[in-house]
Amino acid sequence: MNEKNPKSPVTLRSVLAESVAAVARTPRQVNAGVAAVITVESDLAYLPRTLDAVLSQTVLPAVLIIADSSSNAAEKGSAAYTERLSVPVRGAARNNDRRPVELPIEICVVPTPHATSFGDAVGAAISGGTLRSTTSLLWLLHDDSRPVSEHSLEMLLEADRNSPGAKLIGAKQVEWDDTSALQNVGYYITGNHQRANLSVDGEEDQDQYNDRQDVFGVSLAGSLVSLSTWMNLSGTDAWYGTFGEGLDFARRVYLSGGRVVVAPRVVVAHRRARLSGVRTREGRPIEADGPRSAYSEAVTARDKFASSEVPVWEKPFLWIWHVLTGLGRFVMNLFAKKPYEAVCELVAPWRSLVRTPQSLAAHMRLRSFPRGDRARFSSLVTSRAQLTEWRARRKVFAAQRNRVVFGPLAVEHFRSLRRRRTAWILLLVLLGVGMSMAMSWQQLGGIFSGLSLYSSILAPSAAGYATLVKTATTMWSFSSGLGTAAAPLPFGLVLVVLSVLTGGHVSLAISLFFLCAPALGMVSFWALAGVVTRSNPLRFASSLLWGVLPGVLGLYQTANLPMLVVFVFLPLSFFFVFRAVGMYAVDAPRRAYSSIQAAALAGLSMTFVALSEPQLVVPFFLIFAVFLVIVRTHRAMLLLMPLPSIIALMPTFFSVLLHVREGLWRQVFADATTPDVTLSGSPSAQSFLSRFGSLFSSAFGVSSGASKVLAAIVACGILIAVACAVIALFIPSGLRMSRMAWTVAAAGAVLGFIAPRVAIGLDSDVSVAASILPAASFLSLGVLMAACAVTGRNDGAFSVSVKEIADHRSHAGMRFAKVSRPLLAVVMTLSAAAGVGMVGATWTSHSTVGVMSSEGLPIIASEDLAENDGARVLGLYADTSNHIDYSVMRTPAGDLIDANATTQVADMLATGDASKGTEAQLRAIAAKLLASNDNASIASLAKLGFSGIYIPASTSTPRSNLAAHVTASDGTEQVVDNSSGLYVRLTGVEQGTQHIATAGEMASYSDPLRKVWLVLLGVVTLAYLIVAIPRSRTFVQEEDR
Amino acid sequence: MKRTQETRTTKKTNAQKAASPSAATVTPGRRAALWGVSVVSGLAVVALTAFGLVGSGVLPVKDSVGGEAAAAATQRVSQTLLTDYCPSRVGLSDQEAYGDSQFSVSQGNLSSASRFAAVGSVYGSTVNSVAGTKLADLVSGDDSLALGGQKAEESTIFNSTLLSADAGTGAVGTVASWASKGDVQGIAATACSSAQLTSHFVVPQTTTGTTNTLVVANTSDKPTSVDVALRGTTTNKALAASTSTAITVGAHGEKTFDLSAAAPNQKGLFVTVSSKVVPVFSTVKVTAAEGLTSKGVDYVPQAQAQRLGSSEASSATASAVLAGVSEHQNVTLRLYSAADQTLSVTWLGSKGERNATNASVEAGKVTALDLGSVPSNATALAVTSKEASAGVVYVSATATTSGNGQQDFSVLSSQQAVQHSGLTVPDGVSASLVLANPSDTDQKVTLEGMDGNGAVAKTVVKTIAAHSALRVTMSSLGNARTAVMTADSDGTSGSHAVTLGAQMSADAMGSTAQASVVEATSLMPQTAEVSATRSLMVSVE
Repeated sequence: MNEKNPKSPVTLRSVLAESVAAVARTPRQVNAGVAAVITVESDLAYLPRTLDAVLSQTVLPAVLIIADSSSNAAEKGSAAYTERLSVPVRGAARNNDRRPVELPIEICVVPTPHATSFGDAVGAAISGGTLRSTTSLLWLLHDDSRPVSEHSLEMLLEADRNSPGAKLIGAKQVEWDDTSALQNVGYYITGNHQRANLSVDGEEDQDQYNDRQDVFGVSLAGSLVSLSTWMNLSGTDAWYGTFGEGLDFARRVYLSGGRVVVAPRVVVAHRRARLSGVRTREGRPIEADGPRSAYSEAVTARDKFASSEVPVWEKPFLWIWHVLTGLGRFVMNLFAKKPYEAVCELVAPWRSLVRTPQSLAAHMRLRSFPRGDRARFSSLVTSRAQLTEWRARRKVFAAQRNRVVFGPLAVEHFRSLRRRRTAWILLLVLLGVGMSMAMSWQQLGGIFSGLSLYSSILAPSAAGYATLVKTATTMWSFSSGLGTAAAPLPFGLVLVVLSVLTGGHVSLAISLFFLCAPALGMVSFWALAGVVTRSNPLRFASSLLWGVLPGVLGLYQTANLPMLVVFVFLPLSFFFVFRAVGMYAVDAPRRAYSSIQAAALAGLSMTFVALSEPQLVVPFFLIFAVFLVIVRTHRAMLLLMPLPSIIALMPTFFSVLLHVREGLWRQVFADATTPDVTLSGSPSAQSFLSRFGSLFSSAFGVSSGASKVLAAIVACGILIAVACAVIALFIPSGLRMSRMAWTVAAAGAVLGFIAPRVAIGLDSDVSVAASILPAASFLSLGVLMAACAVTGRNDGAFSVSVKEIADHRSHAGMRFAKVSRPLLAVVMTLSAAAGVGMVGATWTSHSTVGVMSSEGLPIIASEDLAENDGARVLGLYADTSNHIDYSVMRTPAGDLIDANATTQVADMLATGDASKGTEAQLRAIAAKLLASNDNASIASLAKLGFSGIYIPASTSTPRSNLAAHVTASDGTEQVVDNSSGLYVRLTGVEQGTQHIATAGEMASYSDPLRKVWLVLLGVVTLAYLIVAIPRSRTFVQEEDR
Repeated sequence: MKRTQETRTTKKTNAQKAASPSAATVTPGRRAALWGVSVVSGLAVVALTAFGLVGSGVLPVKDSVGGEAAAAATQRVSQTLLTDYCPSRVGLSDQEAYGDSQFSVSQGNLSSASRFAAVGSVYGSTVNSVAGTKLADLVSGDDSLALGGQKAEESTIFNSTLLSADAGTGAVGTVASWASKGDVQGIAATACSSAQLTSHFVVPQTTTGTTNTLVVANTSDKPTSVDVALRGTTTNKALAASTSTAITVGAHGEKTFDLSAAAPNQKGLFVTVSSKVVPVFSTVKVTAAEGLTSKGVDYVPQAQAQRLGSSEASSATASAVLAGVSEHQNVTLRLYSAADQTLSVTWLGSKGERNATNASVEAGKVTALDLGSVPSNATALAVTSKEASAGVVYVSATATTSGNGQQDFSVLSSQQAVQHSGLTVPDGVSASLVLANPSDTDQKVTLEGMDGNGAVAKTVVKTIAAHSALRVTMSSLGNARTAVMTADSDGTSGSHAVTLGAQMSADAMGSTAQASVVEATSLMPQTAEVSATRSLMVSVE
């Protein structure tokens, strides 16, 4: 057939010639009153079988018109042509030669290049004088709808005879390939002017609907129409389009006094090429990128029909109703993991609004029919009960169809796999929790009494949830001067989400995340490792190594919260990416499916990563570029994954774009931690490895003999992992996967090349380079993943055949895996253990994690701060006589939420408030108060809006001098001096109403841009969340589309 | 005719593709191409990764920003508001007349005087009472501001506002009281001093007949609590005071504390006065008598901590110098150190230095050394340490002048040698200046004398040889009441620091023995380089 012989081009003419040549010479009837019309487009895949079916009818139409709407017809302006065919007539007199009399059948091919719909093409085809004078009935067919039985036309004509007044007789529609699968048996209409076929698409045809006769509408494909009615009604209304014109035509048949009848015994197999998305809107076949959804057109047809039904005055109400139902359908479709359909439904009311004039005109056209006739089809409107029952049946059918049923042996196999897996995961979680407990044993009491965690680079937090939310979403930062316009710290949004889990307790959220990070990170990597290997020991070992890595990089020692978030969410992100595109190892006999739900989850987890370390946007960009090449399908899904991250980071990107010349692009490389030159070094053209070396030595300091041995073991483990990862590149069974893993590593390496060269802030007076830790996380993730991939994907075969299992086991790859897998697992476990040893040995000397000894400010000062939003206390700290640290406190702690990358970089570049304005003023005041008592400084503080000064307790002389200078100055009143520090109120200001100027903050708060951003963020997050919510178990296996 | 059943094209899933890439169906040519792509792409990612990891020299670009803000973070903080406390005259604390008039105490012909001067770029100066009432403004003269002719019946606060904190700018004030009759014969004089959170005194003996009264003044709006800690000569532990050592000083108030009662029978006392809330002014007044015979009066100035040791950057500051002794005086030296030290004490005079004694000082304990009478020509004392780096030492000395039975003494406390210093002399008092140069280089010194109206009367330039001291009478500076000293005005190299003290004598004392020394006030700017940085960690540090 045409597919088999690609060398000769398939044309309509060749198809036709082939079909005509193949017509059987069996005697048949030719009905002079019937003209069959078949429309055809560029896609000729289905036409041959349709032609064959039509030409093998027992009753043949006298004329067969083929309306050629293909692009060829348009281009060449080809003329109509006619082929003649004679068939012997059954039961008729024989001619002189004793041979049956033959009647000619005309097959006319009419180019209809400008047809916009099926009805349009039919109209154009019959207007060209192709019909005979005897023609009274039209048999309408799509190129992809073939009559199943040879008696179809015969039965249609019979139905015509038996149904007086029937002007449109439809057929039962079944699937093209599986004629037992029902599509529809006529349509009814709902109270909302929508089509309802009251049969379930795809259900088995057991003649259960064969008692149907009068229906509201039928599919025009395979229908028999009275030519006079067609002419009187001027054919179909092209405005409704191919999907909607049939229903409209049926409606008008009724309004003009005719009947619409379905003949259930006539069966038409209909491919519905366009509706099922294998044909473009222009009629070309789609093969390359999978089926394309025609949902949008279907929705348009639905809405056009409904809107044409309602009179003008009802339109606004209907529209509002449509907006509401559109939203509902949007959510429902998202929940059903159909984002494209969801968007179509969301947009539909607005498109329908644009079409208002046309729909009014359509309504006016209907008004030309007598109103009374409407009552005739009221009996064809479905009842609520019918609809409910119909929906229930559809649901049950869908549930049945989507369920994958495994045999009892397979189920038992899965059960035992799950049991083993659960045990391994539990062990992993236990180890993770044990690690956290060991690390923060001394802080546990403080953490659970609600005190804030801090470290040398992580500021404590005592912020309330509302303050956090406001800070994280307002383009205003209080980290410089008394507030300055700046992009909010992206990490704030992570805190906002984490704090939801602790009921709004920000500091508890921070501490709990720190405690859970090792276990969460390990479980997260366990999931990712499962994508490349199903070996439990290997997954366990690699996850353990992943859990120990943050310790080796010094993240636990410094409570580097943003990086810990990365370590937890990065493997999860990639896990979901691979899940989404259906590239993951599974336990046989399961199959891997692509999943929109996983894509949404990937988008969401990636957002956590990007918000914690915005510099990771750089490698993510690289990775997606490469993945788009490597992954063959679901590219749209890949493109949609970064969307939430991009929207969440919008203020930062905005700030970067606006101030790129001033150098504020550097903020992308900063995070929520305090720049520390001992950890990140100063910007230099240093290689990643040498930077990593100094980081490593700062994390573990001068090592003793024992820890040198441990370090050597860790290094060996890493080297072996790298070697395995390199080998993985050349193992044929995992080519694609290992390249993707290596892309992750390479992207990390590229970032590792850039990061040490970029300055992101100041540590006292030296500039600090961006951290290489994010790069390290990508590198290690890529290498570990590739190393896991080296031993192959499947751990064991599942088969009922002993021979198959034996074959599988004796396979060379399996033999290699059998040896290499335990070896690799042991190496990884050993180096993880060595890593734990190193971290443990140096913990007391290198950990800077602590909890605040109290809740920061004395209670009375906290109360002063709580009095209004603008209340501020100046925190001062000095431990030498020539340096003072100050902080503008709006919460009882420093506070972490006031960390801000934008101002940090602006202060370093001295472009913002740093060199002038209030920041300079505050600096001078702090310095003066350290040097001597200074009434003028106190007065200017009061004028700036401060209500007090807080000096934490300490025994150092500079601190007591500072305290005395403050208390000795005029305009201060010592309120508290206890173990949590000295709190001095500024007198001469009205306590309780004293506040800093908040006009700027207010303006940022009510900035329309902010609202747009928040709405966008909210809608997108919600949409992704709805898609991410798991459905009931019956729907777990998504259809692979 | 049978047509081949057209089947719906089912797309392979990615998983299936990934599981069976380059499957068996591919042709050898395609397989080779696949391998080629695999190898090339594999090498490419490894090469890219390797470049990212080790490629440092290839692109020697780096960020070189930052620093402007850091520079801005450093502030030069200068004190431009000077507040000095000038104590009231030394009298008798208990003047109730009871018993036989012959035996009742009397202040005799006790007179007092004070003088204030502000030199350099000074905007204005006022003299106020401790309670805050303004008493007088300093009169602007040609070259400085000056106010003389004031009595010193009550303590006063001397406020000056500087235009800029430069070297040679500052305020000096002196109070003096004297009597040739009665029970407080002799002269007592001291310079006005600034407020401190913590101040130290090395006080003479607290044996019977000597009254040491600590006076603490608080000129702020807030009351403060002051702790007095005592160390004596008998033990190297803190003395348990017989009286309460906590004093509450009200706002704009003065309080006294009897040191002799708190720690009696010590040959010397190291007193630490520390205030909790606000810095306070403090001084110690000493009156001594033996029976009915007056044995002298004076103020004890605050003792400055001296870090002695040959490793000190400047040899001038490596010595504790007491300037203002003269021949025939008997000197007792008192030292206090928190660490054990071995020190050498030398006399400095116009003819160089001469060893007085070597002493070992026990930690935590006041050591009193009797140095005997002052050798001829000697005008100053220097205490040095032979050790490379020694601890902090507080030094004071009493120099006693004896008359016919009656005695008077001066209490000298070691001061930092500075480049610019000054002192002023009240009306009715004469002074002779002693300039001591303990350093290894000669020092050139300019002395500027200013008259009572603030105009420069005479300028004298002197050179002080290394390790020697020089005496210059005030009268040789014209009719000067105020002297301003500048070391090395012509810019020779080396460290430029000289200790200046003035021996005071009242003009109307006749043959009554009298001794008192006023240490010069530093005219060096109170400037500090303070860097201030914003930190989110203030609450946990």
